[in-house]
Amino acid sequence: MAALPPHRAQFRHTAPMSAKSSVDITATAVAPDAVTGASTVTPADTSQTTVIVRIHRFDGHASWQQDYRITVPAHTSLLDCLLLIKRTQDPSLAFRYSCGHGMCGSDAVSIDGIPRLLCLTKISDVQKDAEAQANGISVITLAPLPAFSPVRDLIVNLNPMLDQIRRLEPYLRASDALRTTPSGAINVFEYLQHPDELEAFDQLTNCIACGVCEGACPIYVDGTPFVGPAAAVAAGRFIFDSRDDPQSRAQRLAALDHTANDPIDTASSSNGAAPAGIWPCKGLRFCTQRCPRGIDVSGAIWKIMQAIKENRGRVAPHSAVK
Amino acid sequence: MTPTKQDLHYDAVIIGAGAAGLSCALGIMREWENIQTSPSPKGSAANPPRVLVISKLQPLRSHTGSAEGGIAASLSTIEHDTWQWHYRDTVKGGDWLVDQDAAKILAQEAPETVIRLEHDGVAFSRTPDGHIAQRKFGGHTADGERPVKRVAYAADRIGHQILHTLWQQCQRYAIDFADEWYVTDLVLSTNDVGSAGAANRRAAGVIVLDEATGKLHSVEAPAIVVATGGAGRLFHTTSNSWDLTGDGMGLALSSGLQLEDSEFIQFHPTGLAHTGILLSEAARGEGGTLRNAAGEAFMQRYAPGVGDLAARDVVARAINHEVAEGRGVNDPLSPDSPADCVWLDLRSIGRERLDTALPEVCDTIREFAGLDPATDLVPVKPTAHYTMGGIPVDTTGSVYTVNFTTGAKTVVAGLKAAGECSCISVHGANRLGANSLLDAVVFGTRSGSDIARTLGHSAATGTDMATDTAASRAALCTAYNARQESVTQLLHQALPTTPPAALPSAASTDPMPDNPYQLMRDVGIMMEAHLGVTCTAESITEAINQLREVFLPRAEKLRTHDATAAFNQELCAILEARNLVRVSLALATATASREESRGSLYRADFPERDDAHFLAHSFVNAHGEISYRPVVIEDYPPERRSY
Ligand SMILES: Cc1cc2nc3c(=O)[nH]c(=O)nc-3n(C[C@H](O)[C@H](O)[C@H](O)COP(=O)(O)OP(=O)(O)OC[C@H]3O[C@@H](n4cnc5c(N)ncnc54)[C@H](O)[C@@H]3O)c2cc1C
Ligand code: SF4
Ligand code: FES
Repeated sequence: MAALPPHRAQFRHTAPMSAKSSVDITATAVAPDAVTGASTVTPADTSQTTVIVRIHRFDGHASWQQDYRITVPAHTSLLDCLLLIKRTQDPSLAFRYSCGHGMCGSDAVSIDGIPRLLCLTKISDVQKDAEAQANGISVITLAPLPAFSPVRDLIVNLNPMLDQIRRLEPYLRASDALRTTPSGAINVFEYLQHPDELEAFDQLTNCIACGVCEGACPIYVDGTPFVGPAAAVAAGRFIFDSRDDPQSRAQRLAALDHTANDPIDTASSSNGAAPAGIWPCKGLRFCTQRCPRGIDVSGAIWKIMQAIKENRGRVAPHSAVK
Repeated sequence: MTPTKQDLHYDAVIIGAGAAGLSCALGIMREWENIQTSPSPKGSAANPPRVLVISKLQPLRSHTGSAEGGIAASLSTIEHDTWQWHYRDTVKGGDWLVDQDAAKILAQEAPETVIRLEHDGVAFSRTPDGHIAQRKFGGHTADGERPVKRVAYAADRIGHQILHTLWQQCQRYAIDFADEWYVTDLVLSTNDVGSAGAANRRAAGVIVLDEATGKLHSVEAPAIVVATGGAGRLFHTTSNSWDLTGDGMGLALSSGLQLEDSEFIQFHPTGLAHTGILLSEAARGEGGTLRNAAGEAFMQRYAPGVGDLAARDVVARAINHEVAEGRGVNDPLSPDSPADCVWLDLRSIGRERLDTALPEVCDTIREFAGLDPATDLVPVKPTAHYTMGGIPVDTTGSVYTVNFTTGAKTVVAGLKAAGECSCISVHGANRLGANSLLDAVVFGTRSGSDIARTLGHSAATGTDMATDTAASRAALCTAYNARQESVTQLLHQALPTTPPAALPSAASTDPMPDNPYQLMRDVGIMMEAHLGVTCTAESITEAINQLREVFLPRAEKLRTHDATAAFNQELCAILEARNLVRVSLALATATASREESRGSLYRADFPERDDAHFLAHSFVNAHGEISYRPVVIEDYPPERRSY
């Protein structure tokens, strides 16, 4: 690439636009009236800060706490902090991560006792809450996500949650009315769905199966037999999808209803307890509060409960839908 | 179900659980069902195929989930469109380095593919009358004249929708999943039965490391599909997730295969300043504008008419040019870094439309830049985004190699590749946005269908797909033993660690011995400096020297810092780092030899496209040997690519 021309520095002095100022824009500008209102976002904290990251470690046999001291800008995410520690202090530290921006659901851990995603939590978000201090430096404590068994350091076994999701047959079973045309041929066009029908379940499709809601739910963490918020969201995504077959919907609802005595053991099978479906939920709403995707998990569970009540008696619980 | 035995046998093994791998698994099962229900079933009495999907990440963590903008198909739900226009746009976008037979299939099969995804459950955004909603995207036009609404979307999280839907549909079938298994070796066996004495290679199986236990397994299969995704981590600033270290491409090179067109890396123009996180092109599709320090919407100068929706390489170079001319701006989050960004102005879209059409883009800007897209300008710079090149495959997904003396193609029996790690080539020198998910699903499915047909055929005729099981087993056994030895060495020569309990609370100031994380970072920074948006013979030579003299030796010397086998992430990272260096070297070699500028590749010393010499695909191997094959041109002879 060509070297930067000498006038570059001068140019920068001629009143560059800045992100936060609404500099007058030239001929090609947008209509000024399109730009309305003030920023609703708190600007990022770019100041440097020193913190101690205290990590619950576990190697399969021994467990211990280990402190790492780092100095980074306050807007740094905890994922970036851990990656920095891995690279510059301790490559043996184990934690899951992938996308780095809240889309893959890999990195749910307990941060100062609260389940959150590492990549969506900045030091400045937790530093002020971090009560523990060591020599005047804030301590941020990281532990494995509650409700799941730790495997190594911050890595837990999420299979119980995934099994619960899988047992509820999480795939669209489109209704016959959609699958065939009035003349009986296979429908080669898309199934029509109006924007308000999409709206009815769209939010639930955003779930990234991170497990934060489960780690935040005292009932789930307790080990009470319970289908759990994540599996409820996964099932609800189909229950409220207008394309799912009505009979399939009834079956999904029955599976979440412990009184229906369905054959699917939706409870955590490890403790051999009776299937309890969705009912152990007491509407504590920690799931909704913590969900990094902004899903109203608790609200969805409540709606499912209403639908179950309406559904009761309408369906033979064992009828199979394929 | 996760397999438990150590020596496993499957009919088909798929490496990777993104859009390509999962589509392939479904393709196998569905085509098998079709064969069974067809009037004259070929393998009627046989059991359904046993398929194993291996993924180093739990499938739902795959990078496909990050795709934002949409998937292209001439559905015409909003305005008239045809697959022929899509086909031609794809060829033009790829700067005529596209194999037109493959691009034609891509465009033709796109509508049915998107409809199949919808039937499978993808929650597409909808038009008021309930059809799949479509939006404009860079390079997609109506008869080459004006932008057309071709890209089907689900707000701005199409990848998440597709990934979850495909995984969900897989739960319907008896497909085995091995989550968090890392493939360390792609094993081929060689039979000397080829014509003219040429060695005929065929897929034998894979060696995998079970991350949870640290144990190695060998998996034998007559059909193997590599669907490991891209290699964005070759560059420091990238939109790709941390796991995209080019493993599949590295595996192919290590087992003696080649990479096609590996010099073509797409830089997406709008990475969020220094994070590299992608701000979808949908932001410009919805009306966002790029502006320089003076506030000028400069793209109209570089691409009159299409402006901000010009092809990605055109926009990325325009940004770099504005920066070089001193019209760049600072990233407010790193005020001390050079003014190497420009502004993305989304304010004219209005808060309401921003929230409904671009929720993820807005969240990312709020979360990672602390800015409000409805009122603030957003700093952006090009970010490494997509690998156009990869493992060479034909239109059924079969991997082939090129004989460097005769130029002849030889298929590797039983081996397929699909998705971003492969090169068909539908993207040529530069892929159009929204064409890569399409590529992964269309050709992933086709690979799967083809495997099912082969399995059905061998079941019907009573022939085993693996014609020489003894040779396969022997090759697997050798590879297993060699890998076991290497893993033992990596773990047992673990660098001294401080006993856990005795570790000081603050970091010691001793320089830490080298580790794969530092190595990958250093490689990325070097690659970005020398092989980024623009390069020259000088910078390429420098990159090759550093890779050979600094990075290869460093990669070989790496050892873990801890001997615990279970979830020893550093062990996998060492293997990833080695793949990364291997693929970097192939990329640099191919770049050095292409003395022209085309699509995403811009050489300042050869700024023009040179069809007389380089209207051809490159093929490199691990030894740095290189050869070319002509592009397949069927309908559209090369023209000047102007927007
Ligand atoms: C931010 C972003 C936005 C994008 N937006 C769009 C868009 O709007 N439209 C579009 O068409 N395209 C888009 N793309 C591109 C598109 O998402 C990818 O090209 C596509 O998802 C690749 O799919 P894949 O199946 O090939 O690979 P991936 O989804 O990356 O999957 C790779 C799989 O391979 C596995 N794997 C890798 N190595 C190994 C190993 N050694 N052993 C075992 N398993 C392994 C991984 O675990 C993973 O399951 C976008 C890309 C990015 C980065
Ligand atoms: S509902 Fe929210 S918190 Fe729960 S698993 Fe899904 S994304 Fe995570
Ligand atoms: S790393 Fe993907 S969600 Fe945090």
